[in-house]
Amino acid sequence: MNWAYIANHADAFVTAGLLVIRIGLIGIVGSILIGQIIAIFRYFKIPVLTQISSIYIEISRNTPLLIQLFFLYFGLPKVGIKLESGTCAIVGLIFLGASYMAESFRSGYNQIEVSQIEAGRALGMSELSIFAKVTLPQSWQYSFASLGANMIFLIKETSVFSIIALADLTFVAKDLIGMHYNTNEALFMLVISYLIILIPLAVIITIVDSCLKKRAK
Amino acid sequence: MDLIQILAQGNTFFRLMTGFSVTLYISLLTALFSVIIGLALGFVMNSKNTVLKIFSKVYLEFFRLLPQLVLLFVFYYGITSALGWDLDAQTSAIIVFTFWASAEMGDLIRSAIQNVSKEQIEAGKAVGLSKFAVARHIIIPNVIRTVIPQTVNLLTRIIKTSAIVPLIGVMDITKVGQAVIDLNRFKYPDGAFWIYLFIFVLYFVACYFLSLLSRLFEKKLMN
Repeated sequence: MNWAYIANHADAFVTAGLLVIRIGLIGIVGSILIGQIIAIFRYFKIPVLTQISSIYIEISRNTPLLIQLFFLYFGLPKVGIKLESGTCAIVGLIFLGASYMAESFRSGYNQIEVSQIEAGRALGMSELSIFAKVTLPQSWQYSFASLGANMIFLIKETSVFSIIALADLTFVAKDLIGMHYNTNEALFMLVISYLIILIPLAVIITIVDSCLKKRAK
Repeated sequence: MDLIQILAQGNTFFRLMTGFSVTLYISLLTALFSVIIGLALGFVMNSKNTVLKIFSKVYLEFFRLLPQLVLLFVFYYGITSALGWDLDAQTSAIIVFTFWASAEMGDLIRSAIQNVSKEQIEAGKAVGLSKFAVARHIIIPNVIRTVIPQTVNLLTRIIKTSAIVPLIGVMDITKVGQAVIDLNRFKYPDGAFWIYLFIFVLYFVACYFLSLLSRLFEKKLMN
């Protein structure tokens, strides 16, 4: 292992790592927002929107991100929709992530005891206020673990963005291998970069999850 | 429609399907190996031996945390050349995916074993069943019931993961599709839209079929 080489090229990995974190964070926040909205559509069984959401969820969950990105980036411009690669990455990540988040939220809502909802009805609360004051605030403790797993999944999926011409971590690693043949160093940096991003995220998710569960008790 | 005209040219359709069969071949072999290794791993994860437990936990977390593409790069560009192995990209993909998917499978088995109700096992012991009979008549049927739908789900995840193999140069459907698009660049300038849509639909059909199958198993086995 050539440590001087690693030190010289660390900045390229830092830049790429920041790009991955930025796109990953926008993707995660966007997926949670849209996922929450979709979960609410399905919870209230709003006609038309529920059916559209269900079709979207099946399409999103049953196709790989790589193919979604190819279609967005190379296919859509042919019918007049041109997306720049950064936008494409974010749109792709949210398209993939929102369906997973929606399913996590839904399973959280389903964990709430029926007796609590019935109690709300008995008190004359509207369905909307039961959802806002009983179901939603409590569902977080049940859905958070699965939301967290989805966050890690989305960050992992950022590794394919090099195919739409984004200089992400795998792109930098492959580029360095091609230029200097320092394969071991480049791959070592690639693994370390992802571990630096993913381990703290995994630890934070575990801590928040146990706090939420403790507070609920 | 452009798509039909492109597909009807020469053996384009056949070539695309051959590309897709590469994906399915990689996925099915991976699934087969992972089920076997995962079964063993699941029992190891549940064992009382602390060293084995820690080792399997580290294995699981490592292969789960890193992106599959990173694992693929490390193996294909790094480990094979460091060890002087001459492996092709397709075999490398199967090996790497097996490492990852057996970790996932092992975790499914582990949680399925842990979730077998204690009352049933106690009841089995109370009526005088041997340790072996408890495993044979109580633990294994319960585990199979929960694990089969999840295994089918894991297979869809493996298929979706296999979509990354063109990044190390495997001639799968995406690579063939790119070649078809390039070949038709002038005759059908919109080819990229149709070919990628076709590939998208093909993946969807394969994975959606398995999702439905998994739900069917879940319903059938839960009753």
